[in-house]
Amino acid sequence: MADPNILQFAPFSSAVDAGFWHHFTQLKLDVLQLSEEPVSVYGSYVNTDPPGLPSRLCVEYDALNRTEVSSKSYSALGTLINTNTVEEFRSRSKPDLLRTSAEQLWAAITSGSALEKPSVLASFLMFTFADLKKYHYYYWFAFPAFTLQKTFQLVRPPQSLATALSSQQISSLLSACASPGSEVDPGFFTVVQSGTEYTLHPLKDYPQLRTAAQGTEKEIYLGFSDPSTLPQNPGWPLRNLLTLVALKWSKEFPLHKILCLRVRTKNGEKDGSYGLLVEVDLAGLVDCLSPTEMPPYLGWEKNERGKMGPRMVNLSANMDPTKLASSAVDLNLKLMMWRVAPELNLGIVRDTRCLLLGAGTLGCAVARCLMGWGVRNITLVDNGKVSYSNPVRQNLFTFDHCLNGGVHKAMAAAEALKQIFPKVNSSGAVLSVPMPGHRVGESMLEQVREDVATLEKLVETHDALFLLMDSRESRWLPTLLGAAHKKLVLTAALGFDSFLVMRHGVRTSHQDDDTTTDTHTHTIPRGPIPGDMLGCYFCNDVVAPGDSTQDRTLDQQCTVTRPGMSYLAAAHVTELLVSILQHPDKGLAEAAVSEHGGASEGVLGPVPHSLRGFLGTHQLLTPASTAFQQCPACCDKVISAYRGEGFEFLLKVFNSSTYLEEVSGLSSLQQCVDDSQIWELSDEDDSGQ
Amino acid sequence: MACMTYEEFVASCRVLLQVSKELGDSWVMCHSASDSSTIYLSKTQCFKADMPTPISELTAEKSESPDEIEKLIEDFTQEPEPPDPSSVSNSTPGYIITYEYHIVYSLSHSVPALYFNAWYASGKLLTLQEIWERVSNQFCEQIADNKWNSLTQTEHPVLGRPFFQLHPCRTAELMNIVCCESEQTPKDVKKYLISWLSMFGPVVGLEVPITYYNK
Repeated sequence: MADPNILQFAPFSSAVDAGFWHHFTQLKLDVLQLSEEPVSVYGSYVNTDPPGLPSRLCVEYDALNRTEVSSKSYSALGTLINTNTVEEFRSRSKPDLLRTSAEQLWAAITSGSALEKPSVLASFLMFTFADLKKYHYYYWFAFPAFTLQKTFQLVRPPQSLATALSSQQISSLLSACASPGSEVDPGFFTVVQSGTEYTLHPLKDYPQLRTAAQGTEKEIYLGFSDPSTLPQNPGWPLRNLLTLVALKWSKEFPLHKILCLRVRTKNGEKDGSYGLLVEVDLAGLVDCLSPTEMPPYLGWEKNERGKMGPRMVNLSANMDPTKLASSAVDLNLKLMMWRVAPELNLGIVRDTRCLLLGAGTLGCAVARCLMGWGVRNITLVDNGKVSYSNPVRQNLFTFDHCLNGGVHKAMAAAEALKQIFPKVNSSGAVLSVPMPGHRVGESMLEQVREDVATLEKLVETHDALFLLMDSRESRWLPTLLGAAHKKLVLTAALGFDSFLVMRHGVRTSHQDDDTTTDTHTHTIPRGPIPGDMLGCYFCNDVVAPGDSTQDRTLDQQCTVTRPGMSYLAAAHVTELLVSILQHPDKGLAEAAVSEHGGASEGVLGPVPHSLRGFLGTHQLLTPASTAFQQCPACCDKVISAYRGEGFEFLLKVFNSSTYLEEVSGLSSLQQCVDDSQIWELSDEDDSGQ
Repeated sequence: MACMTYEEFVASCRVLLQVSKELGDSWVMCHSASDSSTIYLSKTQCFKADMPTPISELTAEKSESPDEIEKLIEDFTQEPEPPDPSSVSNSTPGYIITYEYHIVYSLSHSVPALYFNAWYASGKLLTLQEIWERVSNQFCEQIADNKWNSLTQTEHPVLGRPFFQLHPCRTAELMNIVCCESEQTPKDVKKYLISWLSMFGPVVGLEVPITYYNK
C-alpha cells in the first residue's frame, strides 16, 4: 500500500488517432525524407472523461500541422523524433533522448517561460520508426517529469470537490472555467475564491494574488484541467506544475491548495463534483531544488505488455494501396452478397483457378470479368503477339503492346491484369495448342511434346478451363484434357453476329469405372439432363476436327464478328461459370431441355447447358444436349486411349484426323449413315424432284 | 412521409449542433473538402474495454508471424526505470477504443445515415468483425438476424474512405412511425434528427441524453 501522505500522479496513456499515421507518412515522404531532425507535434488531453478511462494524451490526425486544439481539449506540446532505420530506432540511447526533452522542460521551468506558456508543462516526446514498405509503425511516447529527492507531501488526503465545496461553489467554479478570459491558459491557471464566487487568473499572477489575499477572505488556488479520472490521484500535468511551484514560490509559500478540475456532462448537465482538492506542503523540497541543477527525470511509457518498450502498429490493412484495393474489391462483392444474395459463396469463386486458352478478344474480356467477380488466379495461354488491329477490340492491350513486332499476348494480358489489380495472381504461357490433322514434322516433335506436357500441367493445376480460341480444332486437346482430368470446361465461340457459350459435361468417377464395359448405354433422360451427361463442344459433330483453316480466305481465317459479340459471349461464359459454382451440384448441375424445364436452381438460378445468342434478332436460346457416345473429344474410348497411350496417342491424332474418327467410332457411324442416307438422297435425285 | 430534403437535413444539423453546444456535448460540423456546401456532423468518443489488450490485433496480421514482431519488440525493451513513488503504479487493465461518429445525409434514401469508425489507441482501425462483437447485447439479436442489411462497411460518401454504416434503407419507414403527425411542421424537422439519433446511436454505443429532446 502506498504511503497515504504522498501525492501520486496518474501517468498519461498515449492515444493515436487513426488518421495520424497517414499524415505522418506524408510528412516523412514529402518533407522529412531522411531528416532525423525533431519536429513539433501537438497533442491534447481532456478533463471530461467518464470514470474508468485512463488519462489519455491524444495525438490527433492533424497533430503535425495544427497550431491549436479544439475548444474542448487542452494542448500538450510534443516533439517527434523519427529514425530512418530499425537499427537506429533500437540503438539510439533512450536516456539521452529523454534527457533532451527533460532539459527543455527544465529550462522552461527555471527561465519562467513556462509561466507565460504553461502548456509546456504537459510536453511529451514521440520517438518513431516507420517501415513504410510494410506500413509498420514503431513508436514510443515519453511524458517527461522529474523525480525530486523528496516526494510531494499531502497535508490531507485529496478530497473530491463534492465534499470540499458546496454545489453553488462548484457551479460558480465551472462557469468561471467555461470562460477563462484570453489571458488565462485553460490548462493551468490561478483560481481566486471570494465567498462563493470564483475567478480565473493567469498562472504567473499566483504569487502576487497570494500576497494580496493575505489577511482577506479570499482564498487562492492553483488550478489545472485534470485528465485523470481516479478518485485519489490527479493527472500527470500537475507533477510538472508542482515542480515549478516548488522551485519558484515555495520558499515564500510552502502550502498550496490545488483545484483539479474535471468536468463531466451527464444528461446534458455539467458536473464538476468529480474534481479534486489537493493540499500539499512543499517546504521539504525548497532546499533540494536549484535552478542550475536538473533533477533526475523519467517518463517513458510502458507498452501494452506492461514493459519498458516501444509499441508497434501494423496499418497495412488501412494504408497499403494494394491491400486497400483488395479490400475495396472484396467489399464491393460482399455488398452484392449482403444486399442481394445472402447465400452467395464468394470464397468459392475467388478460389477457382481459371485457365484461359486464348488471350484475344474473348480471353481479355473474360479475364476482366473474372476479376470483377474476385477471381484471384488467372492463367492465359496464347502463342500470338499483339498486332496493330488488336487493342481496339482486345481490352487488355494498348498501342504500345504492338510496337517492335508486338509482345506476346499471354504475357501482356497477364501483366495488364496486375496493373488493373495488383493482388491478382496472373501469369501467361506462350504456347500453341497442337491440333488434330495438323501434322507434326520431325523438327517440331520435341516442341509439341513439350507444349503438350505444359498444357497437361496447366490443366491439372487449374479448376476451370475456358476455351476461347478462334478455331474449332484447337479446342480439341483442351476438351479432351479437361474431360480426362474432370475439370470444369467452358467454351465460347463467336460468329459474325452470333455466339455460342456452353459448359461441357463433367465426368464422374463412376463413368471412369464404366469405360471397360462397352455395353454401357446412356439412357437419355426425358427431363433435365444431369451435368455428367451433358455434351461437349464436339458432341454434336459427326466429323472429327481437322485442319479447318486450310482452304480459307483471309477474311475467314480472322475472326470477323460484330465488335460487341466478344463482350456478350465473354460476359455470358463468365456468368455461366459463376452460376455453376453457386449451384449446390456444381458441374453436375442439371440443365433444362425446354424453356420451362424445371431444372434445379442454384443461388443464381438454373444453369443452362449452352447459350446461343443472335444479335441480328436479339435472341438468346438455351438448348441442352446429351453427350455423344462417339464424340471425338470426350467419349470413353478416346479418353481411355489417351490415358493408355498418352502422348503417342495424341501424336497419331495430330498427324491424322481420320485416326480420331476410327478410335471414337465416328467412322463406322459415318459409314452406316452414308450407306442409308446416300441411297435415300440419290433416290430423290433420281426422281427428278 | 418521413424523408427529409438536404436543406431540412442541414437545418436540423444546425439545431442539433446548437443543443450540443448548450449541453456541453462535442458534436462539430465538418465540410467536404471539395464542396463546402456538403456538410456532416462529427463526434468522437472513447470507450474502455475491460479486457487485456488484444496484442495480436495491434501487431501482426494473420499472415505474418506474431512471434517475430514480438521478438523485435522484446529486443527494444529497456531495463525498467527505477520505481517511482510519485506515480500510480498499476493502471487498470483494458484498452481504449475511440469511436468517431458521423451523421451524413444519404442522398439515395433522403434520410440521415450514421457512419462511424473505431480504432485502438495505436491508431489501428477495428475490423467489421470486431465491430459486430462490440455491438451491445441489447441490439445483438436484431443485428445478427439481419446482419448484412443493418451494419456494414462502405465508402464514406463525403470522405471516400471505408467507414462502418448503419444502413439507412429502413430509416424512412421507421421514422414514419415516430413522426406520425400527418402535417409536417418545421418543428418536426428539428426533432427528427434527434429522434433518429436516439434510435440508431445506442446500437453502436452513442447515447443521446433525454435532455436533447427537452431543449
